[in-house]
Amino acid sequence: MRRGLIAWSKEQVPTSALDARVRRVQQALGAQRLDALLAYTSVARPAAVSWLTHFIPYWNEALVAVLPEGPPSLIASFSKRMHPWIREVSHVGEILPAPDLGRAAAAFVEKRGLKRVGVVDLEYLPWSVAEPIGIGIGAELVDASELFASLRQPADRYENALAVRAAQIAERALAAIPSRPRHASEILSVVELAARREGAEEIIPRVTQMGDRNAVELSVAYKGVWIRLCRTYPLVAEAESWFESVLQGHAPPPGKLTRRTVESCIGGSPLSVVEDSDRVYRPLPAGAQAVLSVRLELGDGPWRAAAPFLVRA
Amino acid sequence: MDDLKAQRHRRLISAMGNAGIDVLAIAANPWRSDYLRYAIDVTVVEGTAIALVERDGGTRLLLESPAEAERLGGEWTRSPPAHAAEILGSFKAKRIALAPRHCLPYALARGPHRESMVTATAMLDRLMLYKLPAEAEAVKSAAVLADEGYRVFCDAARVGRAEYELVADVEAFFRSRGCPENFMILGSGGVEVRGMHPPGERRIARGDLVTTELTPCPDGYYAQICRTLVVGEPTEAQRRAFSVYLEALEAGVAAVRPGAAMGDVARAENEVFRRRGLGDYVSSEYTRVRGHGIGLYVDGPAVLEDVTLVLEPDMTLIVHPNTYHPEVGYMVLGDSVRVTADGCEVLCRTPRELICVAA
Repeated sequence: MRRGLIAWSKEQVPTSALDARVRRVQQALGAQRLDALLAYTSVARPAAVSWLTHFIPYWNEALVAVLPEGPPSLIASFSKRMHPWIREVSHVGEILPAPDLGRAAAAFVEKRGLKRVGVVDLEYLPWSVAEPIGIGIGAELVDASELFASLRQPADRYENALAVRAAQIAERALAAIPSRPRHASEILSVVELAARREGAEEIIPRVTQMGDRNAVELSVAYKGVWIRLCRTYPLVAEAESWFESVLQGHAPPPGKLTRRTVESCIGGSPLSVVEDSDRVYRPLPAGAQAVLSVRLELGDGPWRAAAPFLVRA
Repeated sequence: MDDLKAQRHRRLISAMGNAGIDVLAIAANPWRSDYLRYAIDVTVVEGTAIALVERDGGTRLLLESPAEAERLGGEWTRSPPAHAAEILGSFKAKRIALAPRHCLPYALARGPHRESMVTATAMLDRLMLYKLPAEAEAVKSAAVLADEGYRVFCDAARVGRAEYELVADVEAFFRSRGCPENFMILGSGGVEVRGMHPPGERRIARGDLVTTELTPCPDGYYAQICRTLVVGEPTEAQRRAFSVYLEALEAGVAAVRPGAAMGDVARAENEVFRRRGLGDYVSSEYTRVRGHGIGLYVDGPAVLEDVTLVLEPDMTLIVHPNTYHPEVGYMVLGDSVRVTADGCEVLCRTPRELICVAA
């Protein structure tokens, strides 16, 4: 569950930026002959909704409905008592309480006569939400993942500033790791403390022991934007320097490259694999936010790294 | 713990046999990993996971996140729902079921096995609700950590600190004790505060009531504690208000026994408020539930007056008469309890007091 800072600063993400994102979706609806676009959110898949509205659920689930005109509606399985908090941290029009999200969504679709409804990440939409809409009232659910992904990147300057802040939080958390940690829980404790005191919305730390080395990967969210940073300790200068060059362009690795993934935010998941060693699943436009993760087999054992970057033209 | 996992697995396999299920596909994600934890002791922290549990064979775990696949030793696939559907399609002669309905992804659920969802979900719900003694013991262990975490929270609640900094201290403590998961919300301020929420940027001030519910999950089982502290000396109104919550919690806990319904517990709590002329404040306008089941998931069956679920030994729940008080704002007080043969065992040890911290 989310338990870090959830707050909305209109200086960091102005309402005009959120309105512009919603407008892009609205302009695309007609071309796809869609009556509306639905985006589901929960702790597990919050990214599409937070990009459109800045709403980030700390638990429970909700749907954002974007119609061709007007502000997005939030259909939320939160008690009405939470609506003032939702308004404080997000930019939405109507908030509809939904003790049963699927039924409330179906009622929303039916009341507005929506026949053909696009859904971001339809394949992942929980059946308890999909069934009342798709079978219960017979609306046509259309996978709008491609449509959304085509609008989602490149990132705007507000999102880039949040990513820079998330990376700074992760850097500081990694810098807090003691030089000789006695056990993994000591590493986890210091990175939690440092990252959350810096205002992280969430942090997912993973410590992997690889022979004599420890890889520490931190996935950090700051106000809805996720990045990953991974370092291997003790540091290996040659590999560190190679990784820096790879982020700038091509460079031959100082060992065997055994894994390479590029992730980006293109739907409901904060980071999805868009490219790996074998293939490019989804090309990213210039200016897209992405994370590169690599694993090398060095002469004396494995080594890993990850860092965020912006796709160059 | 290993014994507990083995006991759970045996129970699951037996239930699958009784239900005529050869293969059970269980979906999970970072919000709802409880069903997967019951079946194969796996908690995902990123992406969707689907386990295919064969009654007479092994288990395949499909994961959307490459980092999770590496951490958990599962198979990475860009689309666990589609991949799972494809694998299930190859099990021609086997009886297949899917669960749980509320997190099964569309791409898997819309297929030929969707009729199985309701009964398979109910089967797992029953297993998780009627706990083994070892499961109740795991909740008890988590409650010890909740008490310790609350002491850290009290130390952290100092004037000038932001709400999110309090949570940072508690999270660091839980991680230092090997606890990877916690559900935690809080509130700070005065009569204007109507509930709890994730931490914001508000800074703690003298005279604040600071509420929290801490819910660590050290070994797959959650336990919760709810307490209210005051920064500085409590006012007479705060003391008077607190006495209502204390009496309500005691009444609720006294109502927990085998044969009682969840509704009886809620009624016992709410009657205290009604007797004090605060009956309006036990309605949904001011409060969500008067407690809830607790275990592999943080928010089990609700303690509400119309809930007829009957309590049995080794069920675990939190009793919390948390609500808004018109004179002082939102207040919370709650303890996790375990149903015993003739009543209940209170698992939290933190004194039921309106705790004061230095201003």
